[in-house]
Order: sequence, then C-alpha cells, then structure tokens
Amino acid sequence: MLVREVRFEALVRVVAGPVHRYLVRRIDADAVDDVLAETMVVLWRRIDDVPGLGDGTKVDPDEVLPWCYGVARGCLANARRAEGRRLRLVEKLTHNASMKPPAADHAELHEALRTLGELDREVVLLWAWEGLAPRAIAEVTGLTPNAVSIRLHRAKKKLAALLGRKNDVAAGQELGNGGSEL
Amino acid sequence: MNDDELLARLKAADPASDAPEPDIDRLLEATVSTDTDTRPTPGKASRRWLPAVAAGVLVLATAGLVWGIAGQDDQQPIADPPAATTSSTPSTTPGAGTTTGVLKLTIADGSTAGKCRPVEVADLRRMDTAFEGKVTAIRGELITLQVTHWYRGGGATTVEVRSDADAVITLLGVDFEVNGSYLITALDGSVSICGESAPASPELRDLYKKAFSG
Repeated sequence: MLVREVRFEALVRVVAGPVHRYLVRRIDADAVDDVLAETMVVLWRRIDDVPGLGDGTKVDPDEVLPWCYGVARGCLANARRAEGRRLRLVEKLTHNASMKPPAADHAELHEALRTLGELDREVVLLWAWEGLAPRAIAEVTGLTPNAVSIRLHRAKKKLAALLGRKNDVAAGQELGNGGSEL
Repeated sequence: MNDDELLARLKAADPASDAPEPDIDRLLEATVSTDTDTRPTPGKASRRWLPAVAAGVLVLATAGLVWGIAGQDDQQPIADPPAATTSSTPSTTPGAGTTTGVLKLTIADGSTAGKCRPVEVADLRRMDTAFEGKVTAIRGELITLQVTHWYRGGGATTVEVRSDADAVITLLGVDFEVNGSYLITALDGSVSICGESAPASPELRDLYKKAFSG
C-alpha cells in the first residue's frame, strides 16, 4: 500500500477543484478557504473511509467525489452554525456584498430557487452545477436514490413552471399581449 | 421549459463558472501539517474525532455513504453493513437493562469548537449515563439503539438519540450504522461527542469499564 500521504495527495489533486467550486457556489468568498481547509482535514483523517479510493494513485473522480462533496456539505453546515452565519444559497447569491452581484437575467432564477426547500435546492444544484446523477446525489445527501429522483423531478418541474411563467409574462409584455405559448 | 433548457439556465448562473483553481500544493501542506499535532498517538485510546458542531445537521458518514439528515419524512432507514471498525457484540450481558422503557437523549449543540484530546477515564466519570448499544434504526433525526450493557444510569432497554434542532447536526467522523455497536455517554440528557461516544472498540470499552466500575 502506498503511504498515506501519497494516497491523500492523489485524492486531493482530483477533488480539491470540484470541492472548491462546490463551496464557492454555496458560501461567501471569504469563508471558502476555511471550509475547504476543514474539508481537507476531514478527508485526510478519513482517507481509509473514502469509497472508491484504492491503494494506488489512480483516482476516479466519479467514484470519490460524491463522498467528498458529502464531507464538504457537513463542513459547510458546521461553518454556518459555528459562525452564526446564515449564508443560505440564495442569500449569498443575491445579497452578499462579497459575492459578485448576480446578473440581472439570473434574478428570476434565484428567486425561483428560493422557493424550493433547502434540500430540494441542494438536490437540484448538485444535478445542475456539480453535474451529478441521482445515485451520486443520494450519496452526497443521504437520501435514497429513489427519493432523490422524486425530489429532483418535483423541483425541476416547479422551477420550470416558475421560470416558464415569467417567460410568458415577459414575452407577453414584449409582444404586447401577443399570446405567448409554451 | 424542458430539462435541457432548465439545465442551461442553471449552468449559466453558476457562481463558480470562473472560479480560480485552489492552490493544491498549499492545501496539501497546510492539511498535513495542521493535523500532525492533533493526530492521536497510534495505539493509544480511540480515534480522535472532530467535535460535533452545533445542532442542526447530522451528517452521518459511513464507509460508503454520507448522508445528511434534515428531518425529511421520506427518508428511509439506512441499513448498511457494519463498518470494519465496528466491534462485535460485547461479551457482557445486559445489566440493569431489564426495565422496559425508552431513554431519550439528544445530541447537544456542539459549542465544543476546537480539537478533542484523547478520552480519559476522568472524562467518562463525569457522565451520568453510559451504555453500550446496537443501532436498530436510523430514521430522520432519530437514531434508535438497543442497549446491550449499562454502565451507568441504566434501566431502559431502548435509547433514542435525537438531534435537537430544526435543521441538522453535523457530527463529522462519527459513523452511525444500523447494526453497529456504540459506546455512548451522556450528561443531562445530552450525548457527549468529543470521542467519549464512539463505535464500540476494545480500547474504549476498557476505559468505560475503568470509569464505571464500582
């Protein structure tokens, strides 16, 4: 077996970027580094528990990432509570001064995301931003794959309806009540 | 709006689309060096854990699974095989656990920021509740254990451990699995989380025996 440090380095070189982006998407910029560091400490300590991480230096991102996202998710929850922050995703996206203000054309999307429950929103974002399939989302969130599929379907439908309606309204205004169709 | 259109819309709003890559070398160095002075001495006591931080989110990390508990009603009990670190059922027989009933505990708000030192007998002696039990069910925020041996404060045959907040508790590093055996201590109804409660191991059981004998 390779020494622990070598295995850890192989893991980090694969997951640090994706986990970093996971955090950038969910907390304000000045907290990202701390939570990333905390996540890495947990991975280091639990290197033997990482599913899909063999003894070699070949690391398959698809195998290890869901578990690592799950650890990051836990560290994120810790950080939010420990620091008394309320950095819910949409607050971060829309109100936090340290973040780039969202482009105007994303405001509706953020508003629609805000209508979802926190877990449903996480499921949708893991699908859209992290590009995970339901089975991997299940590994991150602890839901069953079936529950993920149901939540994802429901959340996508809700988002599509909300955004579609907005589009209708916008189109209607532009077209002077031109009777938009979906 | 179909799935593809929604996905494109979401991706266009990805806050990390132009995020820089983290400095991996620095991260590696910082992680390993930071952890060096907090790692337990090999062979001494039980594994040291990160303290649980705060009631709210309970992330239960298992050998193949990490899951967050948010009190969702559609969550199913998880029944993974016990991890290799989980010991077998203790040889001790149930002691005071002849009384029926359910003891209800909570996982306290983890104001225990910082690192945990190795568990000592004196830490355990402060606890008013101590037992070894087997997890029979994990459902939502509720973990149910069947007591196999009472060390202190016994009576109930079943113990329910519940997170005490609306959201979730994060208890990093603690593997709760159905059928796994755990040594649990609590004070005033709150489970201790800084290594005093852990998957059953011969080392920790030995500490329990020392702490609660006589």
